[in-house]
Parts: sequence; C-alpha cells; structure tokens
Amino acid sequence: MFTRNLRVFFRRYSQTCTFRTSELSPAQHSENQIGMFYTIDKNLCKQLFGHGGLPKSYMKQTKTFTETTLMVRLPALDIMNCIKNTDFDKPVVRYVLYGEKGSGKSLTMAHLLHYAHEQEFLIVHVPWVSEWLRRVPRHKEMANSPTREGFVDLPLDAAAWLLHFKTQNQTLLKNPDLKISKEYTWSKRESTAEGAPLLELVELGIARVKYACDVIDALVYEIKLLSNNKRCKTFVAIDGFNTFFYPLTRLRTPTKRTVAPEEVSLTTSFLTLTKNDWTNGVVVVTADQLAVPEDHQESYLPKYLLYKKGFEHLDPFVPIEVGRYSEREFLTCASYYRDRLWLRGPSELEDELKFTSACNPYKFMELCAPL
Amino acid sequence: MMGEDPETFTQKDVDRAIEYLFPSGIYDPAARPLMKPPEEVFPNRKAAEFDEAGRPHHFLFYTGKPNFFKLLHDAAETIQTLYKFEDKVIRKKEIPDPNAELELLASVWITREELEQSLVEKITDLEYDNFKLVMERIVSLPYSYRCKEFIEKYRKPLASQRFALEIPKPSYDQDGRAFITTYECLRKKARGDVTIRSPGTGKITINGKDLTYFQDVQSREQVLFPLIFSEMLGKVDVECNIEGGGPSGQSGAIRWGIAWGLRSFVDKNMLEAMQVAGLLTRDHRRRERKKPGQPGARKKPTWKKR
Repeated sequence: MFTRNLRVFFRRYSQTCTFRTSELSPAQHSENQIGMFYTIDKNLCKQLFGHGGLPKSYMKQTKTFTETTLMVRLPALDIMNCIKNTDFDKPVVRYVLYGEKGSGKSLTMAHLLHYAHEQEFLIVHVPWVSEWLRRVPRHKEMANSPTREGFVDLPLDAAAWLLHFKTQNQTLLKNPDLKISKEYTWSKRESTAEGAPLLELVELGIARVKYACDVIDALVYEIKLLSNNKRCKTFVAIDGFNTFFYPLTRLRTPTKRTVAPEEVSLTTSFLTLTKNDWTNGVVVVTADQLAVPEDHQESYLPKYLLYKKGFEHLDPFVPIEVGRYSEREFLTCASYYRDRLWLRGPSELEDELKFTSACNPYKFMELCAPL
Repeated sequence: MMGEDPETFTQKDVDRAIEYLFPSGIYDPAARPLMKPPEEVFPNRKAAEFDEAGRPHHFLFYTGKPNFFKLLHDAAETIQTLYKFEDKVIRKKEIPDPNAELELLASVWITREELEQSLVEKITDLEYDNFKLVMERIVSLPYSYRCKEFIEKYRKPLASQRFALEIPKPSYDQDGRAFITTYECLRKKARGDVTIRSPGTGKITINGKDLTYFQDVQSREQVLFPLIFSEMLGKVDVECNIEGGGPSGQSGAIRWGIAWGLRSFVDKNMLEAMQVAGLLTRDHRRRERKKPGQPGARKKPTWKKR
C-alpha cells in the first residue's frame, strides 16, 4: 500500500515538473526533451566518469545535489541522430564540438558517452588532454621512450588512463571476441601472446607502468583492427583536443628542454586514432579555449583553435556548435535549481540572472552558487 | 583692462583676466591667484563689543557666545508666545488654520558651518544639536506658521531638481521606434555614448558585443542596474560605444548614460526614485595623484620607531 502511494506520488511529481524527464536512456531522447534534465544512475556515473570526464565544478554540484543530472541539449541530440544514421562501413566520421567557454562542451560529451555506453560502443575517452600536456604537478613522471627514439613517455598518466579505459569498458572487455592480433614483446621475460584477450594487455599496462605508453600504442592499433574487423564498435571521445596542436607543452625533459606535443608518445597514439583510415567507429573531439594558454584564446572557432595542422589533420569533420542556453533551457535550468533549493528568492531573480549570466551555463551555475 | 569696457566689467571677466595674467599650474584651484571683494574672501569679523565705559553692548556677552545664545533665547521666547496664543485660541474654542501649515518637506535645517557663518561664532556639535532640538520644538507646535520668517531664516531648500525641466523628447527612427542618445557619458577615464531604443527586447550592445563585453559580474550588474531599477529590463534596447578606462569606469559610464537616457521613458515618480537612488548623479571622482615622499595618494611609508 505504502509503496503504491509512493509510486503514485513519484509519478505525479514527474508529471507536474517540467524540467525533468523520466526518460533515462539517452538513445530515446528526442526534440521533446530538449532542455530537460535526466538522471544518470550513480553506479554508471562512477563507472563512466569515475576518473574524470565531468568538469570539477560540475562534480561539486552533483555532490551537493546528491544526483548526477545532465540536460538534454540539441548538439548532443544532433550527434546522436548522426550516429544513428551513419553507415559504419565508411571511414569514421569526426565531430568537433566547439563553443564559448563554459557553454557545456564537456557535458555534451558526457551525454554522448552515456549514449555510447548504452549502445555498447567500446569507449576510448580522454577526459582532458591538458591534464597530460599542460598540467605539471610537483612530481610529474617523465621518461624518455625506450622503444621510440626522441619521444617522451608519461608513464603514470598513461597507466591512469588505462585504468580509466578499463573501468569504462568493464563489461565489454569481458567479451572473448576481443583478442590481440600479434605478439608483443615488452622485455626478455615479459610478452603478451597472440590471441590473448585485450583485457590482459590493459592490465599489463596498469601493472607495469613502465610499458604503459607502449601498451596504449598497441591498444590503439588493436582497437582499430578490431573495429575494422567488426568485432566491436568504437567511440572515441577526446576533450580539449586542440592541446595536441598548440606548439608547446609545459613539460620539460630532465635536461630542461621544453617538449613539443608531437614528441609525447601519447599524442601520436591518439592522433592515429583520430585519423579516418579506419571504419566502424565514431570520433568526437572538442576544441576548447580553456585547453590552451591565454595567448591563444581570442576566438572559439575550431579553425583558430586547432591551428592549420590540426585542421588539416581532422579535415573533413562535422563542426557542431554548443551554444548558450536558449530561453527555454534557461528556464528549466532555473526551475531545476529551485527544485534543488539551490536558488531561492523572488521570481524576478531569474530575469536578472539571465541577463547577468548572458545565458552562459557555467556563468549561471557560478552565479547561483552563493544565492 | 584687456580691452574690456570697465562699466560692464563683471567678476567673470576679472577671473579670466587673472587667469591670463597670472597663469598658475598649482594643483589645487583654491590656491591659485584670485581677485575678489574682500567680503567674499575673508569671513565676517565681530564688530566692537564695548562702549566707552568698557561695558559690553550685548546683554549675553558673558555667556561667551552671545549671538548663539541670543538665538536660543529668541527661540524660547517664540515658543512662549506661541503657547500663550494657543491658550487664547482654545479659550475661544477655535482650531488652527489647516491651510496655513508650514511646508517643510522641500527644505532642511542649515548645516553647522552655515550657522557658524551667520552667527560669526564657533559652536560645538552639542550646541548645534540643541539648536536643532529647539527649532524642531517650534515647528512641532500647532501655530508655528505664525513665526514663519523666524523658521525660514534657518532653513535652506533641497537641491533643485534641474533635470525635471529639461528632459529631452525622444526622436523617432525609420521603424517608428523612439530613440534617444546620451553623449558624453563619463566616468573615471571612460568616455562614450549610449543610445536607448524603445520599444525593444532587452538587447544590450556594447561596442558591437553583447553583455559578455564585460567579464566580471559586477560590471554587468552596473550596466543592468538602471534597467532593473526602472523595471525597463526587456522593454528597451541599449547600444553603447565606449572607450578609454577600465571595466569599472566603462560600466559606470554606461550606467549613467542609460539612466540619463531613461528619463525620457519613465514617469515622474520613477524619475524621483531614480534621483534618490543616485542614478542620475554624475560621479566626478578621478584618480588621485600620487604624492611625493609617500608611496601612494594617501598611503604613508610603514612607520618604524627607529
């Protein structure tokens, strides 16, 4: 009796509230749900975004709200539609998300990741490229690559990414079809045999941090091969992709020489993944102003951010702009904040907030925080 | 002098001549050379206070501040006469004339400095408070209108609302929309002009960009404040061209420009409210110059005992 009442109550609630959709599967989202929020399951969220993927400030907010919700927005729906209608026998289609700072590129990508997870894509997701190339904590592990001359390895970052890859594709990696095509010899004693499962390769990379970068190289090669052979579909998502093309990184070799991004072995691996010489996959990258230093933030357009080199590397691609909130999106967002008791006060507040934040999602979030 | 007709020579001409003959780069205008009648330059002095026998003229001389206490004395006397008058009227069973009541909303008591100047005596804060107390007492009496001149002598009118008279009529463009342009919106080092179009949709254009021209929230709020205050947000379009200065100066200039332009589109009550809110007041403050011998305009070097 009690549970029924509760169920009725919840149904009433979901009917009355206009900012939340009960459609939890991104594949089912359509134009009707634009501007509405949907909740991601807690465990799934941990699995997909446990090692990054959601912006830090957004993570904080989800912790406050005790739920992870994403707004269904047009750019994500557009890409989903495109993916649905893609012929997977053709070379991969590359989508570039671009937009002003804080307009929701990363969250659009998060939405797409959820979609990809649901559609059983093999997810290759780089949460934030600048984490590797631009962020230099006190002890950044760096080593000259033992296998490739003149390259720099970031073994710890690579291992962390492998762990991320493993958690994101937990279920898919158990699939016995995903096998290695050739034998890899790491050292005299260590090698991975031909026909071993992909998971073994990944675990080796995590356990033997020294080889992590080479493992990633091999992994990329194998994933491309597997996709070509129709063993799996692959969804490549790289946030802050334009960092790969900014002429300098903030890394320094032990001899104090600054490192160009091409010289980092991780860069080459992921750049081969974004070429369109393979099939049965989707590539989504973002061009973000925040991923490059301030001297190169004049425009948010991909041509400017990716430089000529990156533009030619990606060309042809599908540019998708992530814009500011529309009127409706803004109102649903405001009512969501009100529902979470995050925003209080008179209703004229919304008008003012709309103008002060200029409908920029991040700015709006920032402004609401102290209210 | 200087080819001018001495018959129609005014103070203004004198000032101009002095400025020409004694050019001065002194920072403080008050310290520059001037030529004015001595009454304007030097404050009044007290007249001789004793007769031949050496006795003071004034009966309150030994209070030390004869003029001030004379004023209080007069006030007390006024109160007494008013009381007496009131008693008389009550005995006749009449009521005070409601039409003759004093209009005190448009004026305020003169300040302490002005009172000092008119009395030619220094007075303390406490004495000034006493003065105000006594005057308020007189005003609160029902027949205070009978001593109107006495009260008026110590009141001055509030700042006149100059703008109320000269609000420009908006012009109309091809689309039939009313628009008004305010030129010379100044604040700190920023200069610009603001155009307001009504009716509009709330679009704000600053140097061809929207409100994101300003990065920080405070500047955006500054720009929006007059619109929010006058409840015109979303009803008018605003276009600004602004240059010079930094974000806060530019936003302040735009704020004033919008408020000044909005006068043509709001009603009188709102106009007064805007005036009270300080939206129509120009902010003339500028950067204060650095002084030699100290690190900033006011900042002094760290004090060290030895």
